[in-house]
Amino acid sequence: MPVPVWHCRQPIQDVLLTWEGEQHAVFFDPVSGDTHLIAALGAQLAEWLAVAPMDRDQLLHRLTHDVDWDELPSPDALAELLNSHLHRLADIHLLAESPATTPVEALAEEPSA
Amino acid sequence: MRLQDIDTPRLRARMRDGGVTLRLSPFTVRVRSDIPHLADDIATMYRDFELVDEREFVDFHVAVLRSPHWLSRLQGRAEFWFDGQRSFTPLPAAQALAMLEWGINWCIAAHAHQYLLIHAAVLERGGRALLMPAPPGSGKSTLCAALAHRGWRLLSDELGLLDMTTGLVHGMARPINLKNASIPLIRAFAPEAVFSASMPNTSKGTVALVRAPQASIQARLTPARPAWVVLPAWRAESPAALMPIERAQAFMGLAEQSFNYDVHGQAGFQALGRLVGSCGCYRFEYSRLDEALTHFDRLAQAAPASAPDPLPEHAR
Repeated sequence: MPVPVWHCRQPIQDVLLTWEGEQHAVFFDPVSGDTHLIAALGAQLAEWLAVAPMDRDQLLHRLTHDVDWDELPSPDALAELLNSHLHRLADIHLLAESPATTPVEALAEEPSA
Repeated sequence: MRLQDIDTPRLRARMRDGGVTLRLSPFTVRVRSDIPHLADDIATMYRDFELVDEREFVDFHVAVLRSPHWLSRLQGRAEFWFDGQRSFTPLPAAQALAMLEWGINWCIAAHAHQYLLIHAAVLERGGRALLMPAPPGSGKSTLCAALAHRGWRLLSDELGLLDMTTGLVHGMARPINLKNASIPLIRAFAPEAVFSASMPNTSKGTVALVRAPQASIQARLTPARPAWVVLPAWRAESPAALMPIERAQAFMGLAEQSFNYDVHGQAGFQALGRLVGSCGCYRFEYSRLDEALTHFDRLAQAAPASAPDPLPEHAR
């Protein structure tokens, strides 16, 4: 069963400002012109997804292993945290969820000669 | 030629007829008025400012004129005019100076989009600029007036002009706008300060203007490189406290207090990012001026976080 993947909608170097050691970052939505204060964890998600799209499990894996937590949240709490960040970042147009595609569908979408 | 070189009768006549053109760098403003006491007030507040040759380009043509309508005239009302159009609600002629200052602020805020315009007090010391963005009622102008009379150079009490290319902030050393209890407070704090007459019953309460100190006026053409962003808040009986804040929060404070951040889009976003990235960012609460100034003196004495970039050649 294919799963949807998340990706970053914007060229992140132009629209995201982060500062070392700070708990917040700033995102500029070039479509609406709005500026949003976001959590540093949200900025981290966006930076990962700007490199390559990922599904929720891949993001959970990275959150578990690549974030320097004071105290690692429980798996349920981490999943809930991820959900809340993804939805908030989707609401402000920084991230988007792509519909799932099966390998067959992907093949069907390829242009034919 | 400076404004003080014209005697009072000639100034009144010139303002009534064609107007006088003041160099409020980086702008030029032609002011016309048929209200004699406004000419006197302008002579006091802007005496050291240069007059511009009549053939030079003028950015803003403004006028404060007695209302032509018989009832308004009976009530002694005055109107603000910009580019030949009447703007804003007429006010009592006794408030003409405040009306002129607010009107010029509006002209700049609504039109000078070559700058990122920030509603902030801006002062400079040791070549480093302090930006204090804040909404009305936060004690920004009071603090600004106190600092300007204790060794800080005044650039502006409410309009910071950020050049998005150089990163330098410009000011005009125009008068500081004080309200209500701040007026007697600054009179006592800085007896040498030159005040306009108090103007009661304005929409902001009683208002008085304070002329920029002489040294600030003399240096008004020199911009400064931002070094600190401080979000001030006056709190009754609160001990003075300067608390570091995240750059992201300072960014949002500046963006909220910008008149034209939305006009500049991504360029404004990047410019504010560079600004907060090069500044120490703080929140400041205070109730007593002497105590407050101690904190700012310490801030100015501390070494900069990194060596500031020198001013570009053309900005010196």
